[in-house]
Amino acid sequence: MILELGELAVKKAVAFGADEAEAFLIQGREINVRAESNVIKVATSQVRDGIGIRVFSNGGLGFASVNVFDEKKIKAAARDAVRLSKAAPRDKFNLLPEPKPIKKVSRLYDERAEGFGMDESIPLVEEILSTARGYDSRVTVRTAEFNANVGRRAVVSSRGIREEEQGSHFVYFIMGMARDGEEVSSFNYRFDSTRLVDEINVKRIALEFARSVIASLGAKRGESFKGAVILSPDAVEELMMGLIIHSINANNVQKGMSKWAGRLEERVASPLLTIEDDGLIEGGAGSLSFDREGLPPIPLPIIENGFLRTYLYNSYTARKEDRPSTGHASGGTRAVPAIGPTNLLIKSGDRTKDELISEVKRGVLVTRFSGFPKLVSGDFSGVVKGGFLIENGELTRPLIETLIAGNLFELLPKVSGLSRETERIESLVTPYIRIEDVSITGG
Amino acid sequence: MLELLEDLLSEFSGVGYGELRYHERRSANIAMRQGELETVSSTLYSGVGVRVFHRGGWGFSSTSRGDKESIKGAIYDAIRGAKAAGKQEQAKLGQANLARGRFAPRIDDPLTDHPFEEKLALVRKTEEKLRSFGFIAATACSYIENLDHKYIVTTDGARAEIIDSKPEFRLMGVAADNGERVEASEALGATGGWRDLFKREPDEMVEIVAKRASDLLQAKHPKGERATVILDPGIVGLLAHEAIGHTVEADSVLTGAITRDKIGQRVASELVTLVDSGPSQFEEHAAGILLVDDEGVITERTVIIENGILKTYLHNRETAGIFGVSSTGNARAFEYSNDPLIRMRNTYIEPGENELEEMIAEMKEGYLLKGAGGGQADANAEFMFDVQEACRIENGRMGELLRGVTICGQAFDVLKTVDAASREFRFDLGAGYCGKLQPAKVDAGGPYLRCQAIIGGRQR
Repeated sequence: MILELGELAVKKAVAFGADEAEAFLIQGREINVRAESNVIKVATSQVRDGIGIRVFSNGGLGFASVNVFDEKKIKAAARDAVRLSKAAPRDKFNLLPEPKPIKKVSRLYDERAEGFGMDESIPLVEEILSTARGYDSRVTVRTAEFNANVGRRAVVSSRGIREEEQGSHFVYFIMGMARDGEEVSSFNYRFDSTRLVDEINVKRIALEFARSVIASLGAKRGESFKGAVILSPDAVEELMMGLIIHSINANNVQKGMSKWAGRLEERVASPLLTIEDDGLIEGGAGSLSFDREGLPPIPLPIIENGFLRTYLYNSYTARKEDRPSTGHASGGTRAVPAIGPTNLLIKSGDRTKDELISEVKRGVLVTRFSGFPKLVSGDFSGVVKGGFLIENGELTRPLIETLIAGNLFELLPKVSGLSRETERIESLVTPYIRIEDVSITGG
Repeated sequence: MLELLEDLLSEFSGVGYGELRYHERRSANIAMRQGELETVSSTLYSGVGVRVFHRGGWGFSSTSRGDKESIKGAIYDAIRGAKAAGKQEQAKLGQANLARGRFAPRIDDPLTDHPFEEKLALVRKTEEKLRSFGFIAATACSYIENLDHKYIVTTDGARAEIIDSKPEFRLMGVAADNGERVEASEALGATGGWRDLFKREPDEMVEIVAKRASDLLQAKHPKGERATVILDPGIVGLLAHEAIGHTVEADSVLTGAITRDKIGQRVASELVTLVDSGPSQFEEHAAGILLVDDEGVITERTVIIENGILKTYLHNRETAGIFGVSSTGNARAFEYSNDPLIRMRNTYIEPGENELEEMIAEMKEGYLLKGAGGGQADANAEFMFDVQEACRIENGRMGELLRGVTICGQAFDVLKTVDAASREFRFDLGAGYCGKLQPAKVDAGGPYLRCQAIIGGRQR
């Protein structure tokens, strides 16, 4: 039914005077059960509808969206989009993409998700709470949550794209801290997601969370020195991925906002580092058969043994360079297509995490990183959360108020080791990563 | 719609409390980068959020359809959710000053009086002007507006119609030289109309951004140390909101935030009075203005810390019930499909009696920190903020300009070291959003504050 509504929107937009039109639609159902302060607090059930209509008139862009599947409102949105496009400046790259063959990715949808409701979700949140609290009574759960999402998305365009896909997604997380008398530990969280009912495993995140907050009790200020840091998979995600995703986005590259502009086929990182983007992985959290514009995502090497291999494109940025889109148009129904990765995979190394630690004379194990690396310059400076001091190859004590700072573009070539163990954080799979010569400031 | 919602209140029989909130949001978004129009959009997002409280559990459901049967369906789902979650016998909601009537902030020059073409032209012109500076390598300029229309009715008597209008304008430039790049930005946000937003002319913002980017390009990085610093009003606002404010949200207190059991105790220097206010204070168009919260409660000016003593937490109706106080009107939902959470509004530290010049003149060494960047903080009030620029102060005089730094520390420890606060006051985070499961439009500010904090930098 959503394909028909998409067709209606496209037809109306063309009738109102658009040269080309595209509709992106989402219809979904979400169950959410949330515990706060150690007890189940809220059970939510929602239905979400949405359509975003993008039109081009004489090279001008217009976009409108509405969250009601009502023919009159969709018609009004189509008219709105056309009106905006006629006032917008002409841009010769404003053209919709031609259809490409789509091969469906499997294991993105589980039929059993359709019947997954509050009665199934509540016991899972109870299990998260009892596992974390059962580990140690000093654990305080601020929020524990379980989400079950099921729905479909579709793209229709006046160029003949007409695609629809069903998906299911279960996401669960826990956050909070440990409290021992007057002492409150660092805040921490864990989360996980899966596509299939049988793969839901809430116990693991609850235990990992509980262990990490208890371990961070008794933290003291660190010292100031220059040394190695070992980033946990979470810290890799928090410190490095935002910058990498920003820098390989073709829109940022073309607009002088990426330090990696003009650096294709050059060495930008240590030879140990290899990163791929693959949107076609079966059951992947970031997998999809077609992107926000209805094109298939092409699996790509991003960095190969330290060499930058490609940027990610949607059709607009691709057209500017007269090349095909890589199928990385991203976004929802309320905004024009942006660019984003699908599943990112960082290749694992040949040592265990403990071996990485044992080789460090003086350094810090970073469990979480809190800070905002500057996406253009790569400068960063932020707080180590749940960190441990490493002395002579051993973890000696937990740290608070410790800052790490530097420039990520300068540090990527200084990656000196990756662990054999990897972890999946939503759509990212990464090992522990060790980087040398980072400036560490204690309180 | 209001009559329909009132009629439907009868569907809540057998549960402790029911709430219906219709929220229609019309948004416009225009974004230019590097001479290219990236976004021009018009969005209608509307629907009804339904909440039910029963034996300590909440059920929430929402529907984008405004017809009677769809809303009834959502009520049924919410009741089912509340009954499934509710297991605490005696839980009760707290007292509240419930809103009845129509509520609208002062809007001098309605956004709807300004055609889309005018807004687009302003964004294009401003971006182009910044781009015309030779050393500016990248630019971005955007305009966003959210026009809200809400009706809230509750089974215990709230019946309010609420109008809101919140525009934002942002400008960012990157200066580049020899492979070095630095970013500078300015942003405005307001509750009100077109004129209320532009407290500063876009042309002046262009000059400020260009100059700051160019100055910072020449600047060195500071070294990491514990130092005496003067924080500008924006950074003080960020500290008040991010590092203190979140630890006094009653839901956070219940889960063991550092402020638990500290009411009546000294938590800051006596120069510090910290407030979170829904109605306007000092500035009629602060971006975080909220006249009625999303539980239909009339908001108030809530004094969190008075002369250094912790006075109260921020409450919704549920935590007010638990603590035996009245709601402070801090329950907020971003859109109809979000359930209300305890959120801040305009958060600030009250001005002091010093002049900024004398605060600088009294210092042997330290920094004047300007321009709040991103920030994060923990339930133990440990915080980390980016600031855009750091000016060295030596022997009472302004010295060298240094690159942006990160400041960190434990916020209450930092506030205990405050030894001067300026008369000058400003709200400065009007383009900011607070994120806590869902966004909320907030504002924050304060005077210039002198205190001790850790600066993280790096030396070249």
